Amino acid sequence: MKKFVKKFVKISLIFIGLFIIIGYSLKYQFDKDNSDKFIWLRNIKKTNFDYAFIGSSRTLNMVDINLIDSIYGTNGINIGMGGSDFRTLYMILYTFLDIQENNINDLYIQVDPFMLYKDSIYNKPNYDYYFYSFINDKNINSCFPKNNNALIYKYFPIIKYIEFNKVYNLTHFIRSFNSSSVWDESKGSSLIYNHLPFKPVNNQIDKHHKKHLVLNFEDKELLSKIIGLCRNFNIQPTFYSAPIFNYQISYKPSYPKFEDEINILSDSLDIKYLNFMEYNNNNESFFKDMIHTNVKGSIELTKAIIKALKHNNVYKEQAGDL
Amino acid sequence: MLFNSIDFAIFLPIVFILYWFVTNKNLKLQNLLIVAASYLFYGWWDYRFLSLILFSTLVDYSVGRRLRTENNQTIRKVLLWTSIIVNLGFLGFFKYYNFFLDNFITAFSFFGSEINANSLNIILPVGISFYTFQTLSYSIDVYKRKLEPTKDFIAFSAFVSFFPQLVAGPIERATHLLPQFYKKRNFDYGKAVDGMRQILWGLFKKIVIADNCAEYANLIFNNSADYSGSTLVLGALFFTFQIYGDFSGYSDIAIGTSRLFGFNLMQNFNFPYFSRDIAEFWRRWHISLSTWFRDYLYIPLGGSRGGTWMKVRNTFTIFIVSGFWHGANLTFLIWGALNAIYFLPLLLTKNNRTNIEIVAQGRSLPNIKEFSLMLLTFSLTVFAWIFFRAENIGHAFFIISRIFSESIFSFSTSWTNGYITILHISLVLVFVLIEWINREYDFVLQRIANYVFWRRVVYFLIVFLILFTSDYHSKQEFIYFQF
Repeated sequence: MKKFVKKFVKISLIFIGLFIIIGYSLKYQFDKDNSDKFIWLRNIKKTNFDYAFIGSSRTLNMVDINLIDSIYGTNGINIGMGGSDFRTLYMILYTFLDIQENNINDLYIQVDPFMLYKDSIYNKPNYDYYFYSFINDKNINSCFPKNNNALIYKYFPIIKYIEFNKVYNLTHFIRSFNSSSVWDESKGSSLIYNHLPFKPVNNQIDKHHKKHLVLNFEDKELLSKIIGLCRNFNIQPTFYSAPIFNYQISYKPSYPKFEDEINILSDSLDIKYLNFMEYNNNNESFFKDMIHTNVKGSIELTKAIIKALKHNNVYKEQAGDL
Repeated sequence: MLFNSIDFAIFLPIVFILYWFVTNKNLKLQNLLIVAASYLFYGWWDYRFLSLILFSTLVDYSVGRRLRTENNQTIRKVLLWTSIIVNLGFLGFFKYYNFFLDNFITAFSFFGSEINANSLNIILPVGISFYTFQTLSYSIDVYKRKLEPTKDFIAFSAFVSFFPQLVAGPIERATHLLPQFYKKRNFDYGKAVDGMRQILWGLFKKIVIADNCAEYANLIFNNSADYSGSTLVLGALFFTFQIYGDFSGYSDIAIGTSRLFGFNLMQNFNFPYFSRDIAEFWRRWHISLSTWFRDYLYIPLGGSRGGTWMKVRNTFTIFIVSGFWHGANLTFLIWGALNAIYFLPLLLTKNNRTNIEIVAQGRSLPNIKEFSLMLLTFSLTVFAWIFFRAENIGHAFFIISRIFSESIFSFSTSWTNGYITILHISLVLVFVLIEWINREYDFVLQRIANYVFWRRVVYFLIVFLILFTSDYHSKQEFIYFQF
């Protein structure tokens, strides 16, 4: 009996020791994985950008930075992350500007009903594990819930890699040996192709939101924090919204006051609001799903953004023509 | 509580220490600890249903006590039927009430009469199909005087609720498990180490094989309209390994855990996918259920004695009841009937006990005939699993029609996930190879015990794979919990 317990404890300790070593080795390797958007962003330091787009997948997948830069000869970056809420976006922007010491002149902030209303599908702490290494920074620390595992992850990284093995997976591990990144070429954008033809869904309201939703105070506060960050770093912020298929019917009934509320907010903060929610939004060939355009639709959206920037005298065409 | 949860990883060592260090000198106390631990284990999921287990225990214990002293055959029959009605009544209500109600409504509306009846929102108590069959076996064996009824209520409660096999088997016979609660258990180092090995292999089967296969099987079955015939075949293959890894993994953990506490449970799976005919498959798949039906249903019905009609009737009865045991859905009935159709030619030509020995015993590879027979049996099993997994009959037929269409020749990779899919498929292939190499043993890691260095390397690899393929942010329940 004692022999069994002793042997079990001995083998367990050996395994724990091996796993701790593996944890630090994985940390070393995964930190080089530039195929991961977060890590790619984190490895950009002390660089000047003319502009950046920030938001969820509706920015990541729908704004083509290369197209904008080819027209204006600018240097832009897409710092959108799929599934991000404003808390994550604040942490992305803060680390990008303050910790990594990058500069941005203009920031286009995606404002979506999904990101600003209670019961939103995006309000989940999806990406906290990427920021645990900055836990000692008070601004990042204040974004986390009080009881978090940050210190455990920091000193025993193996726990993080085990818990989030669906993110830190074999594909990323293999890719981490490749120093070049697709994000370098696309400047942070990731336009998406339709694997299957887009089929509009008519019951979005029943599926997601059964009642009229109200602007979420917490998200509004976090958006204000992002604006505050822009002011501190002399960045000109602009709000923008991306297309939603058949918005008037598909989603607007759940958020009837969204546009009014954003207009009030942008006026009070003296920020321009570029609303593309209903741009080309009845054309099925432009969409991948209800809330994401496909490559064709994203290029059309980007062209519309370019026109809007020209109209607002933000940039003048230099290198190309639409 | 799930075997593949942190809760169980804490629960098991605590119970183990209390069992061997605190209560080891008193058998009654040890059994009481098992009862308490088992009720905690079950109540962790939903404490309200503990009353069902307790009631079932009380009924069968009392029936057993009365049968001990009762010699009047009519009263003995009444007592037996009391046990059967109570146990099957619970099972019928919780599992089949809505099924029968919905089908009655459909049948009546077919003949033009509308009846108003509402389905109830019934939660199926986890493991009810398993522990009711276990307690029933006690009452039936006592009735048949095969087993001396117990006077020890705590031992009987421990037998009914024994946590390693409470929710998904193996369905133990009272004649085998109950006497183990009467005897003092002594710690056996070899047995405990074997138990640990079996737990480790069970976790590997569940987490590394079944859960990863489930990801693809669910994706393909849930979006079957979007996939070609060849992808649907892959979906069926993924499900084939999912259900095997899931269920046999659970049985391995249950058997291994029991060994830690000094108990022997029956083998529930014996490398079924290496069977050369469907009769052999059913001697190797969910053995505790097949033998239960054989002993308490098939043989009392006459078994394979009598004329052809009798054999056909009994075979269909046992397979359809077995299908129905799995769930209240016509898909399970068809799955059962399909297995009966596979089995009948073997029975009628008296070839159902041809393949008794382990395939290719003493050889590394099977001969061409053995390989062809294994492939045929495996294909028939995969085909039947389509019905088992499909949402309804229409869904199953849709999948089958898509498989037997031109789209079988087109292949899409839209369901794949890069290197991860390659890794998962490689793991399944390695798993099949390891099972093949070790098919002459009770369980896979038994053989490796003789090689100290390699043993530890294998343990480490298994732990590594378990840790790095678990999904910690979603609950991965065992498939057989729903049955």
